[in-house]
Amino acid sequence: MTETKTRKGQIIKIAVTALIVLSGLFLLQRLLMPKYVDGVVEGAFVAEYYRENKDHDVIFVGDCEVYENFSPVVLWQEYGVNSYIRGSAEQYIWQSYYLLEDTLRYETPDVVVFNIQSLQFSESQREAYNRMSLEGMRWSASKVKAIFASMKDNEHFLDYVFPILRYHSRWSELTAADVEYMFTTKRVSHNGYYMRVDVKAAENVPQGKPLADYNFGENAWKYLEKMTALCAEKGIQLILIKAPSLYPYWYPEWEAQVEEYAEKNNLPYINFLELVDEIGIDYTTDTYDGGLHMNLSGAEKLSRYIGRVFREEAGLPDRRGEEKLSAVWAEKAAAYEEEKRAQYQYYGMEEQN
Amino acid sequence: MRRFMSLTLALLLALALTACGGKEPPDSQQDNPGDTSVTTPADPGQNEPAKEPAPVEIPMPKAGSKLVFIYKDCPLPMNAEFAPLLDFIGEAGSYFEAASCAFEGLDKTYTYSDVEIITYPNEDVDYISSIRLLSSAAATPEGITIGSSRADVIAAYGEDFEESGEQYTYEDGDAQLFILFENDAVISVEYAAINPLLA
Repeated sequence: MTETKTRKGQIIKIAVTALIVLSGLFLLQRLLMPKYVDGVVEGAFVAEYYRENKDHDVIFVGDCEVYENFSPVVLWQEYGVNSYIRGSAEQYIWQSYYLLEDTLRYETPDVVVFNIQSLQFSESQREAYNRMSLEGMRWSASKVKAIFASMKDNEHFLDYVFPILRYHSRWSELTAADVEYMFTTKRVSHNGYYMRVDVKAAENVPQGKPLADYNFGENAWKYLEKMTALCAEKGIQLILIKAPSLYPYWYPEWEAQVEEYAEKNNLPYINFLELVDEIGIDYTTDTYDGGLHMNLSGAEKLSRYIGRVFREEAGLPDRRGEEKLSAVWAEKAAAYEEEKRAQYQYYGMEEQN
Repeated sequence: MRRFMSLTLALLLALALTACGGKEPPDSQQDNPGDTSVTTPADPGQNEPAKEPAPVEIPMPKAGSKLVFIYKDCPLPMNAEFAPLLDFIGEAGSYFEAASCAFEGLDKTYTYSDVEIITYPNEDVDYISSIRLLSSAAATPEGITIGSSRADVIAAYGEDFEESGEQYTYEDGDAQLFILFENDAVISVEYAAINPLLA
Protein backbone atom coordinates (compact mmCIF):
# COMPACT_ATOMS: atom_id res chain seq x y z
CA MET A 1 0.00 0.00 0.00
CA THR A 2 2.69 2.45 1.12
CA GLU A 3 4.84 1.44 -1.86
CA THR A 4 1.93 2.14 -4.28
CA LYS A 5 1.39 5.55 -2.65
CA THR A 6 5.08 6.38 -2.97
CA ARG A 7 5.03 5.36 -6.63
CA LYS A 8 1.93 7.49 -7.32
CA GLY A 9 3.60 10.40 -5.57
CA GLN A 10 6.67 10.01 -7.74
CA ILE A 11 4.60 9.92 -10.91
CA ILE A 12 2.75 13.09 -9.86
CA LYS A 13 6.05 14.82 -9.09
CA ILE A 14 7.46 13.84 -12.47
CA ALA A 15 4.31 15.01 -14.25
CA VAL A 16 4.28 18.34 -12.39
CA THR A 17 7.98 18.89 -13.05
CA ALA A 18 7.54 18.07 -16.73
CA LEU A 19 4.58 20.44 -16.91
CA ILE A 20 6.59 23.24 -15.29
CA VAL A 21 9.51 22.66 -17.65
CA LEU A 22 7.31 22.60 -20.75
CA SER A 23 5.31 25.65 -19.64
CA GLY A 24 8.54 27.50 -18.95
CA LEU A 25 9.90 26.65 -22.38
CA PHE A 26 6.62 27.62 -24.02
CA LEU A 27 6.65 31.01 -22.28
CA LEU A 28 10.28 31.54 -23.19
CA GLN A 29 9.51 30.70 -26.79
CA ARG A 30 6.60 33.15 -26.87
CA LEU A 31 8.83 35.83 -25.36
CA LEU A 32 11.83 35.28 -27.59
CA MET A 33 10.13 34.90 -30.97
CA PRO A 34 10.18 38.10 -33.07
CA LYS A 35 6.78 39.82 -32.96
CA TYR A 36 7.11 41.95 -36.12
CA VAL A 37 4.76 44.62 -34.72
CA ASP A 38 7.12 47.53 -35.27
CA GLY A 39 10.19 48.14 -37.41
CA VAL A 40 10.29 45.12 -39.69
CA VAL A 41 6.55 44.36 -39.76
CA GLU A 42 6.67 42.23 -42.91
CA GLY A 43 7.14 39.08 -40.85
CA ALA A 44 3.59 39.45 -39.49
CA PHE A 45 1.76 39.54 -42.83
CA VAL A 46 1.40 35.80 -43.46
CA ALA A 47 -0.24 35.10 -40.09
CA GLU A 48 -2.71 37.98 -40.40
CA TYR A 49 -4.58 36.19 -43.15
CA TYR A 50 -5.99 33.58 -40.76
CA ARG A 51 -7.99 36.25 -38.92
CA GLU A 52 -9.97 37.06 -42.07
CA ASN A 53 -13.34 35.94 -43.32
CA LYS A 54 -12.11 33.84 -46.19
CA ASP A 55 -14.37 34.72 -49.06
CA HIS A 56 -12.02 36.57 -51.39
CA ASP A 57 -12.49 37.08 -55.13
CA VAL A 58 -8.81 37.72 -55.66
CA ILE A 59 -5.69 36.48 -53.89
CA PHE A 60 -2.36 38.11 -54.70
CA VAL A 61 0.75 36.03 -54.03
CA GLY A 62 4.34 37.19 -54.26
CA ASP A 63 7.01 39.29 -52.65
CA CYS A 64 7.26 42.98 -51.76
CA GLU A 65 6.27 43.78 -55.33
CA VAL A 66 2.71 42.78 -54.43
CA TYR A 67 2.32 43.76 -50.79
CA GLU A 68 3.66 47.27 -51.35
CA ASN A 69 2.05 47.93 -54.71
CA PHE A 70 -1.66 47.06 -54.54
CA SER A 71 -4.33 48.35 -52.22
CA PRO A 72 -7.24 45.97 -51.53
CA VAL A 73 -9.15 48.91 -50.00
CA VAL A 74 -9.15 50.72 -53.36
CA LEU A 75 -10.15 47.51 -55.14
CA TRP A 76 -13.14 47.26 -52.82
CA GLN A 77 -14.09 50.93 -52.82
CA GLU A 78 -13.87 51.38 -56.58
CA TYR A 79 -14.73 47.95 -57.94
CA GLY A 80 -16.39 45.99 -55.12
CA VAL A 81 -13.64 43.36 -55.40
CA ASN A 82 -12.82 41.52 -52.19
CA SER A 83 -9.09 40.80 -52.26
CA TYR A 84 -6.20 39.80 -50.04
CA ILE A 85 -2.43 39.83 -50.50
CA ARG A 86 -0.48 36.81 -49.29
CA GLY A 87 3.02 38.12 -49.57
CA SER A 88 6.08 38.66 -47.45
CA ALA A 89 9.60 39.97 -47.88
CA GLU A 90 11.51 38.32 -50.74
CA GLN A 91 8.94 35.55 -50.78
CA TYR A 92 10.37 32.84 -53.00
CA ILE A 93 8.21 31.18 -55.65
CA TRP A 94 7.94 27.87 -53.76
CA GLN A 95 6.74 29.81 -50.72
CA SER A 96 4.15 31.59 -52.87
CA TYR A 97 3.06 28.23 -54.23
CA TYR A 98 2.63 26.64 -50.80
CA LEU A 99 0.94 29.76 -49.43
CA LEU A 100 -1.51 29.46 -52.30
CA GLU A 101 -1.99 25.77 -51.53
CA ASP A 102 -2.56 26.76 -47.89
CA THR A 103 -5.06 29.45 -48.93
CA LEU A 104 -7.04 26.95 -50.99
CA ARG A 105 -7.64 24.92 -47.82
CA TYR A 106 -9.91 27.75 -46.73
CA GLU A 107 -11.30 29.30 -49.90
CA THR A 108 -11.23 29.23 -53.69
CA PRO A 109 -10.88 32.69 -55.19
CA ASP A 110 -11.87 33.45 -58.78
CA VAL A 111 -8.52 35.02 -59.57
CA VAL A 112 -4.96 34.54 -58.33
CA VAL A 113 -2.40 37.21 -59.20
CA PHE A 114 1.25 36.18 -59.06
CA ASN A 115 4.16 38.60 -59.40
CA ILE A 116 6.92 36.88 -61.34
CA GLN A 117 9.92 38.76 -59.92
CA SER A 118 10.82 35.77 -57.75
CA LEU A 119 11.45 33.57 -60.80
CA GLN A 120 15.00 34.89 -60.66
CA PHE A 121 15.68 32.73 -57.58
CA SER A 122 15.90 28.98 -57.79
CA GLU A 123 16.96 28.55 -54.17
CA SER A 124 16.48 30.47 -50.93
CA GLN A 125 18.91 33.32 -50.40
CA ARG A 126 18.54 34.11 -46.70
CA GLU A 127 17.18 32.32 -43.69
CA ALA A 128 15.64 35.54 -42.36
CA TYR A 129 13.37 35.74 -45.42
CA ASN A 130 12.44 32.08 -45.04
CA ARG A 131 11.45 32.73 -41.45
CA MET A 132 9.29 35.72 -42.32
CA SER A 133 7.36 33.74 -44.90
CA LEU A 134 7.09 30.44 -43.06
CA GLU A 135 6.71 31.13 -39.36
CA GLY A 136 3.34 32.80 -39.77
CA MET A 137 1.85 29.87 -41.69
CA ARG A 138 -0.49 27.61 -39.79
CA TRP A 139 0.73 24.06 -39.48
CA SER A 140 -0.40 21.90 -42.37
CA ALA A 141 1.14 19.61 -44.95
CA SER A 142 1.64 22.74 -47.09
CA LYS A 143 3.71 24.38 -44.36
CA VAL A 144 5.87 21.28 -43.91
CA LYS A 145 6.48 21.11 -47.66
CA ALA A 146 7.19 24.85 -47.76
CA ILE A 147 9.81 24.49 -45.01
CA PHE A 148 11.56 21.63 -46.76
CA ALA A 149 11.49 23.51 -50.06
CA SER A 150 12.95 26.62 -48.43
CA MET A 151 15.58 25.46 -45.95
CA LYS A 152 19.17 26.40 -46.67
CA ASP A 153 21.93 23.88 -45.90
CA ASN A 154 22.52 25.30 -42.43
CA GLU A 155 18.85 25.26 -41.43
CA HIS A 156 17.01 22.52 -39.53
CA PHE A 157 13.38 21.50 -39.67
CA LEU A 158 13.22 21.19 -35.87
CA ASP A 159 14.11 24.87 -35.54
CA TYR A 160 10.86 25.68 -37.32
CA VAL A 161 8.89 23.27 -35.09
CA PHE A 162 10.50 24.67 -31.92
CA PRO A 163 11.52 28.24 -32.79
CA ILE A 164 13.10 28.66 -29.35
CA LEU A 165 15.99 26.62 -30.69
CA ARG A 166 16.61 29.38 -33.20
CA TYR A 167 15.74 32.44 -31.14
CA HIS A 168 17.25 31.60 -27.75
CA SER A 169 19.93 34.24 -28.29
CA ARG A 170 17.43 37.10 -28.68
CA TRP A 171 17.70 38.00 -25.01
CA SER A 172 19.74 41.10 -25.64
CA GLU A 173 17.34 42.35 -28.34
CA LEU A 174 14.12 42.06 -26.33
CA THR A 175 11.95 45.16 -26.17
CA ALA A 176 8.72 46.08 -24.39
CA ALA A 177 6.83 44.91 -27.49
CA ASP A 178 8.11 41.37 -26.94
CA VAL A 179 6.32 41.30 -23.61
CA GLU A 180 3.24 43.23 -24.74
CA TYR A 181 2.64 40.97 -27.73
CA MET A 182 3.60 37.65 -26.19
CA PHE A 183 0.08 36.31 -26.60
CA THR A 184 -1.63 38.91 -28.77
CA THR A 185 -0.76 40.85 -31.88
CA LYS A 186 -1.89 43.94 -33.73
CA ARG A 187 -2.74 44.42 -37.37
CA VAL A 188 0.17 45.78 -39.35
CA SER A 189 -1.27 45.49 -42.88
CA HIS A 190 -4.46 46.29 -44.77
CA ASN A 191 -5.47 42.89 -46.17
CA GLY A 192 -1.80 42.21 -46.71
CA TYR A 193 -1.01 45.69 -48.09
CA TYR A 194 1.90 47.55 -46.48
CA MET A 195 1.18 51.26 -46.64
CA ARG A 196 3.79 53.98 -47.07
CA VAL A 197 2.80 57.55 -47.89
CA ASP A 198 6.24 59.15 -47.99
CA VAL A 199 8.00 60.08 -51.19
CA LYS A 200 11.52 59.51 -52.41
CA ALA A 201 11.99 60.08 -56.12
CA ALA A 202 13.80 57.52 -58.26
CA GLU A 203 17.25 58.82 -59.21
CA ASN A 204 20.46 57.21 -60.48
CA VAL A 205 18.88 53.76 -60.63
CA PRO A 206 21.67 51.36 -61.65
CA GLN A 207 21.31 49.37 -64.84
CA GLY A 208 21.54 45.62 -64.72
CA LYS A 209 24.95 44.02 -64.84
CA PRO A 210 25.75 41.32 -67.41
CA LEU A 211 24.74 37.87 -66.15
CA ALA A 212 26.41 34.55 -66.80
CA ASP A 213 23.03 32.93 -67.38
CA TYR A 214 19.74 34.66 -68.06
CA ASN A 215 17.65 31.51 -67.91
CA PHE A 216 15.40 31.09 -64.89
CA GLY A 217 16.35 28.04 -62.83
CA GLU A 218 14.64 24.66 -63.07
CA ASN A 219 13.32 24.84 -59.54
CA ALA A 220 11.69 28.22 -60.17
CA TRP A 221 10.02 26.92 -63.32
CA LYS A 222 8.84 23.81 -61.48
CA TYR A 223 6.87 25.90 -58.99
CA LEU A 224 5.41 28.15 -61.64
CA GLU A 225 4.22 25.02 -63.45
CA LYS A 226 2.74 23.72 -60.19
CA MET A 227 0.97 27.02 -59.57
CA THR A 228 -0.45 27.04 -63.08
CA ALA A 229 -1.64 23.44 -62.70
CA LEU A 230 -3.15 24.06 -59.26
CA CYS A 231 -5.11 27.08 -60.49
CA ALA A 232 -6.30 25.17 -63.57
CA GLU A 233 -7.41 22.25 -61.41
CA LYS A 234 -9.41 24.55 -59.11
CA GLY A 235 -10.89 26.61 -61.95
CA ILE A 236 -9.00 29.74 -60.88
CA GLN A 237 -7.86 32.36 -63.39
CA LEU A 238 -4.13 32.86 -62.85
CA ILE A 239 -2.82 36.30 -63.86
CA LEU A 240 0.93 36.88 -64.03
CA ILE A 241 2.23 40.37 -63.37
CA LYS A 242 5.49 42.26 -63.14
CA ALA A 243 5.26 45.26 -60.81
CA PRO A 244 6.73 48.56 -62.03
CA SER A 245 9.78 48.41 -59.80
CA LEU A 246 12.84 49.99 -61.38
CA TYR A 247 15.24 48.05 -59.17
CA PRO A 248 16.29 45.24 -59.06
CA TYR A 249 16.71 45.42 -62.82
CA TRP A 250 14.27 43.41 -64.93
CA TYR A 251 16.19 42.01 -67.90
CA PRO A 252 14.67 41.80 -71.40
CA GLU A 253 15.87 38.18 -71.46
CA TRP A 254 13.71 37.46 -68.40
CA GLU A 255 10.76 39.28 -69.90
CA ALA A 256 10.98 37.15 -73.04
CA GLN A 257 10.85 33.93 -71.01
CA VAL A 258 7.78 35.04 -69.06
CA GLU A 259 6.00 36.22 -72.20
CA GLU A 260 6.67 32.89 -73.85
CA TYR A 261 5.42 30.94 -70.83
CA ALA A 262 2.27 33.04 -70.53
CA GLU A 263 1.48 32.62 -74.19
CA LYS A 264 2.13 28.87 -74.13
CA ASN A 265 -0.13 28.43 -71.10
CA ASN A 266 -2.75 30.92 -72.23
CA LEU A 267 -2.28 33.09 -69.14
CA PRO A 268 -2.75 36.85 -69.02
CA TYR A 269 0.54 38.61 -68.28
CA ILE A 270 0.70 42.28 -67.34
CA ASN A 271 4.11 43.94 -67.23
CA PHE A 272 3.42 47.21 -65.43
CA LEU A 273 6.85 48.52 -66.41
CA GLU A 274 5.45 48.85 -69.93
CA LEU A 275 2.27 50.58 -68.74
CA VAL A 276 3.82 53.32 -66.65
CA ASP A 277 2.63 56.14 -68.92
CA GLU A 278 -0.84 54.69 -69.41
CA ILE A 279 -1.33 54.29 -65.65
CA GLY A 280 0.25 57.65 -64.91
CA ILE A 281 3.03 56.42 -62.64
CA ASP A 282 5.37 59.27 -61.84
CA TYR A 283 8.62 58.05 -60.31
CA THR A 284 9.23 61.43 -58.72
CA THR A 285 6.06 61.23 -56.62
CA ASP A 286 4.74 57.65 -56.63
CA THR A 287 7.56 55.77 -54.92
CA TYR A 288 8.82 56.01 -51.35
CA ASP A 289 12.20 54.38 -51.86
CA GLY A 290 13.68 55.61 -55.11
CA GLY A 291 11.79 53.35 -57.49
CA LEU A 292 11.83 49.98 -55.73
CA HIS A 293 8.27 50.11 -54.44
CA MET A 294 5.22 52.27 -54.89
CA ASN A 295 4.04 54.55 -52.11
CA LEU A 296 0.32 54.97 -51.41
CA SER A 297 -0.18 57.23 -54.41
CA GLY A 298 1.48 54.75 -56.78
CA ALA A 299 -0.22 51.71 -55.23
CA GLU A 300 -3.64 53.30 -55.61
CA LYS A 301 -2.94 54.05 -59.29
CA LEU A 302 -1.90 50.43 -59.90
CA SER A 303 -4.94 49.17 -58.02
CA ARG A 304 -7.30 51.24 -60.18
CA TYR A 305 -5.71 49.77 -63.28
CA ILE A 306 -5.80 46.15 -62.15
CA GLY A 307 -9.32 46.66 -60.79
CA ARG A 308 -10.44 47.41 -64.34
CA VAL A 309 -8.77 44.20 -65.48
CA PHE A 310 -10.64 42.24 -62.82
CA ARG A 311 -13.92 43.81 -63.83
CA GLU A 312 -13.61 43.92 -67.61
CA GLU A 313 -11.40 40.94 -68.40
CA ALA A 314 -11.91 38.52 -65.51
CA GLY A 315 -15.59 39.46 -65.16
CA LEU A 316 -15.53 39.77 -61.37
CA PRO A 317 -18.81 41.06 -59.94
CA ASP A 318 -19.23 44.23 -57.88
CA ARG A 319 -20.00 43.01 -54.36
CA ARG A 320 -20.54 46.38 -52.73
CA GLY A 321 -24.22 45.50 -52.43
CA GLU A 322 -23.48 42.73 -49.92
CA GLU A 323 -24.40 44.22 -46.60
CA LYS A 324 -22.21 42.11 -44.32
CA LEU A 325 -19.17 42.38 -46.53
CA SER A 326 -19.69 46.13 -46.93
CA ALA A 327 -19.73 46.51 -43.16
CA VAL A 328 -16.45 44.60 -42.87
CA TRP A 329 -14.87 46.81 -45.52
CA ALA A 330 -16.20 49.98 -43.91
CA GLU A 331 -14.16 49.06 -40.83
CA LYS A 332 -11.11 48.24 -42.93
CA ALA A 333 -11.43 51.52 -44.83
CA ALA A 334 -11.62 53.44 -41.56
CA ALA A 335 -8.40 51.80 -40.35
CA TYR A 336 -6.81 52.58 -43.73
CA GLU A 337 -7.78 56.25 -43.50
CA GLU A 338 -6.57 56.44 -39.94
CA GLU A 339 -3.16 55.06 -40.85
CA LYS A 340 -2.97 57.40 -43.83
CA ARG A 341 -3.57 60.38 -41.57
CA ALA A 342 -1.08 59.14 -38.99
CA GLN A 343 1.61 58.63 -41.63
CA TYR A 344 1.03 62.02 -43.27
CA GLN A 345 1.42 63.56 -39.86
CA TYR A 346 4.50 61.47 -39.04
CA TYR A 347 6.22 62.43 -42.29
CA GLY A 348 5.09 66.06 -41.97
CA MET A 349 3.22 65.86 -45.27
CA GLU A 350 0.04 67.44 -46.40
CA GLU A 351 -2.71 64.88 -46.81
CA GLN A 352 -3.38 63.97 -50.45
CA ASN A 353 -6.85 63.39 -51.81
CA MET B 1 14.56 10.31 -10.42
CA ARG B 2 14.48 13.75 -8.82
CA ARG B 3 18.12 14.19 -9.71
CA PHE B 4 17.34 13.16 -13.29
CA MET B 5 14.49 15.68 -13.57
CA SER B 6 16.65 18.44 -12.10
CA LEU B 7 19.36 17.64 -14.59
CA THR B 8 16.85 17.66 -17.47
CA LEU B 9 15.44 21.00 -16.32
CA ALA B 10 18.90 22.50 -16.04
CA LEU B 11 19.85 21.24 -19.48
CA LEU B 12 16.68 22.61 -21.10
CA LEU B 13 17.08 25.98 -19.47
CA ALA B 14 20.72 26.09 -20.46
CA LEU B 15 19.67 25.34 -24.02
CA ALA B 16 17.12 28.11 -23.94
CA LEU B 17 19.39 30.68 -22.42
CA THR B 18 22.71 29.97 -24.06
CA ALA B 19 23.47 32.23 -26.97
CA CYS B 20 24.81 30.45 -30.03
CA GLY B 21 26.39 33.58 -31.41
CA GLY B 22 24.46 36.47 -32.81
CA LYS B 23 25.19 38.88 -35.60
CA GLU B 24 28.83 39.81 -35.64
CA PRO B 25 30.69 42.17 -37.85
CA PRO B 26 32.63 40.54 -40.66
CA ASP B 27 36.01 39.08 -39.78
CA SER B 28 37.81 41.69 -41.78
CA GLN B 29 36.41 44.31 -39.41
CA GLN B 30 37.84 42.77 -36.26
CA ASP B 31 40.96 44.89 -36.50
CA ASN B 32 41.22 48.58 -36.88
CA PRO B 33 41.66 49.29 -40.58
CA GLY B 34 43.84 52.25 -39.73
CA ASP B 35 46.44 50.12 -37.94
CA THR B 36 48.42 49.31 -41.05
CA SER B 37 48.05 52.62 -42.82
CA VAL B 38 51.01 53.92 -44.73
CA THR B 39 51.71 57.55 -45.26
CA THR B 40 52.70 59.01 -48.58
CA PRO B 41 53.05 62.61 -49.62
CA ALA B 42 50.25 63.86 -51.80
CA ASP B 43 52.73 65.21 -54.29
CA PRO B 44 56.13 63.48 -54.26
CA GLY B 45 57.62 66.14 -56.52
CA GLN B 46 57.02 68.91 -54.04
CA ASN B 47 60.35 70.18 -52.62
CA GLU B 48 59.43 73.23 -50.60
CA PRO B 49 59.01 71.94 -47.07
CA ALA B 50 57.25 75.04 -45.84
CA LYS B 51 54.50 74.68 -48.45
CA GLU B 52 54.29 70.89 -48.41
CA PRO B 53 50.67 69.89 -48.02
CA ALA B 54 49.62 67.58 -45.26
CA PRO B 55 50.47 64.00 -46.12
CA VAL B 56 47.59 61.91 -47.38
CA GLU B 57 47.19 58.59 -45.72
CA ILE B 58 46.32 55.73 -47.98
CA PRO B 59 44.06 53.52 -45.94
CA MET B 60 45.26 49.94 -45.80
CA PRO B 61 42.34 47.94 -44.50
CA LYS B 62 42.99 44.36 -43.55
CA ALA B 63 42.10 42.08 -46.41
CA GLY B 64 40.67 38.62 -45.98
CA SER B 65 41.65 37.63 -49.50
CA LYS B 66 44.33 38.03 -52.13
CA LEU B 67 41.60 39.21 -54.49
CA VAL B 68 41.67 42.92 -53.75
CA PHE B 69 40.79 45.67 -56.20
CA ILE B 70 42.81 48.86 -56.02
CA TYR B 71 41.22 52.14 -56.99
CA LYS B 72 43.02 55.48 -57.00
CA ASP B 73 45.90 53.73 -55.18
CA CYS B 74 43.53 52.65 -52.43
CA PRO B 75 43.00 48.94 -51.77
CA LEU B 76 39.31 48.09 -51.53
CA PRO B 77 39.04 44.63 -50.00
CA MET B 78 35.69 42.89 -49.84
CA ASN B 79 33.98 43.19 -46.44
CA ALA B 80 36.08 46.25 -45.58
CA GLU B 81 34.41 49.17 -43.85
CA PHE B 82 33.77 51.60 -46.67
CA ALA B 83 33.51 55.02 -45.01
CA PRO B 84 37.28 55.62 -44.51
CA LEU B 85 37.95 54.35 -48.03
CA LEU B 86 35.28 56.62 -49.48
CA ASP B 87 36.95 59.56 -47.77
CA PHE B 88 40.10 58.69 -49.66
CA ILE B 89 38.75 57.85 -53.13
CA GLY B 90 36.25 60.69 -53.13
CA GLU B 91 32.57 61.02 -53.83
CA ALA B 92 31.04 58.99 -56.63
CA GLY B 93 29.57 60.51 -59.77
CA SER B 94 26.27 58.93 -58.92
CA TYR B 95 24.81 57.39 -55.80
CA PHE B 96 21.86 55.06 -55.32
CA GLU B 97 20.56 53.41 -52.21
CA ALA B 98 18.09 50.60 -51.87
CA ALA B 99 16.44 49.34 -48.75
CA SER B 100 16.38 45.60 -48.73
CA CYS B 101 12.88 44.12 -48.76
CA ALA B 102 12.80 43.97 -45.01
CA PHE B 103 16.17 44.43 -43.36
CA GLU B 104 17.08 47.57 -41.53
CA GLY B 105 19.65 49.62 -43.41
CA LEU B 106 20.47 50.29 -47.01
CA ASP B 107 22.46 48.67 -49.75
CA LYS B 108 24.37 51.58 -51.32
CA THR B 109 25.66 51.83 -54.87
CA TYR B 110 28.47 54.29 -55.66
CA THR B 111 29.04 54.66 -59.39
CA TYR B 112 32.31 56.23 -60.52
CA SER B 113 33.25 56.73 -64.17
CA ASP B 114 34.87 53.32 -64.37
CA VAL B 115 33.79 51.27 -61.35
CA GLU B 116 30.65 50.56 -59.38
CA ILE B 117 31.00 49.86 -55.65
CA ILE B 118 28.15 48.37 -53.63
CA THR B 119 28.03 48.19 -49.85
CA TYR B 120 25.90 46.31 -47.35
CA PRO B 121 24.94 47.50 -43.88
CA ASN B 122 25.64 45.81 -40.60
CA GLU B 123 24.78 47.60 -37.39
CA ASP B 124 25.04 51.10 -38.88
CA VAL B 125 28.33 50.44 -40.64
CA ASP B 126 28.64 49.92 -44.40
CA TYR B 127 30.96 47.24 -45.75
CA ILE B 128 31.98 46.55 -49.33
CA SER B 129 29.90 43.78 -50.88
CA SER B 130 30.91 44.08 -54.54
CA ILE B 131 32.97 46.05 -57.01
CA ARG B 132 32.38 45.91 -60.75
CA LEU B 133 34.50 47.36 -63.51
CA LEU B 134 32.47 49.50 -65.87
CA SER B 135 35.03 50.20 -68.57
CA SER B 136 38.49 49.36 -69.78
CA ALA B 137 39.76 52.49 -68.02
CA ALA B 138 39.85 50.41 -64.86
CA ALA B 139 41.78 47.17 -64.45
CA THR B 140 42.44 44.68 -61.70
CA PRO B 141 45.92 44.82 -60.09
CA GLU B 142 46.73 41.77 -62.24
CA GLY B 143 45.90 43.77 -65.37
CA ILE B 144 42.54 42.30 -66.35
CA THR B 145 39.94 44.65 -67.74
CA ILE B 146 36.95 44.75 -70.07
CA GLY B 147 38.17 43.42 -73.41
CA SER B 148 41.00 41.24 -72.02
CA SER B 149 41.23 37.81 -73.57
CA ARG B 150 40.59 34.45 -71.95
CA ALA B 151 44.31 33.72 -72.23
CA ASP B 152 45.11 36.99 -70.40
CA VAL B 153 42.81 35.95 -67.57
CA ILE B 154 44.38 32.53 -67.21
CA ALA B 155 47.86 34.05 -67.35
CA ALA B 156 46.90 36.51 -64.61
CA TYR B 157 44.90 34.29 -62.27
CA GLY B 158 45.73 30.72 -63.23
CA GLU B 159 43.50 27.77 -63.92
CA ASP B 160 42.09 27.26 -60.45
CA PHE B 161 38.63 28.58 -61.26
CA GLU B 162 35.09 27.28 -61.39
CA GLU B 163 33.53 27.50 -64.80
CA SER B 164 29.85 28.12 -65.24
CA GLY B 165 28.83 28.76 -68.80
CA GLU B 166 30.92 31.68 -69.96
CA GLN B 167 31.92 32.72 -66.46
CA TYR B 168 35.07 31.94 -64.48
CA THR B 169 34.87 32.25 -60.71
CA TYR B 170 38.04 32.61 -58.67
CA GLU B 171 37.76 32.38 -54.90
CA ASP B 172 40.16 33.22 -52.13
CA GLY B 173 39.39 33.89 -48.47
CA ASP B 174 36.37 36.14 -48.14
CA ALA B 175 36.24 37.26 -51.77
CA GLN B 176 35.28 35.97 -55.18
CA LEU B 177 36.18 37.30 -58.58
CA PHE B 178 33.70 36.74 -61.39
CA ILE B 179 34.96 37.14 -64.94
CA LEU B 180 32.42 36.84 -67.72
CA PHE B 181 33.34 36.32 -71.37
CA GLU B 182 31.65 36.82 -74.67
CA ASN B 183 33.44 35.54 -77.75
CA ASP B 184 36.54 34.93 -75.63
CA ALA B 185 36.75 38.54 -74.54
CA VAL B 186 36.00 39.75 -71.00
CA ILE B 187 32.71 41.64 -70.78
CA SER B 188 32.38 41.83 -67.00
CA VAL B 189 34.76 41.80 -64.03
CA GLU B 190 33.24 41.77 -60.58
CA TYR B 191 34.60 41.22 -57.08
CA ALA B 192 32.07 39.95 -54.53
CA ALA B 193 32.24 39.52 -50.78
CA ILE B 194 31.77 36.15 -49.16
CA ASN B 195 30.03 36.73 -45.89
CA PRO B 196 27.38 34.87 -43.88
CA LEU B 197 25.33 38.06 -43.69
CA LEU B 198 25.03 38.08 -47.45
CA ALA B 199 24.20 34.38 -47.73
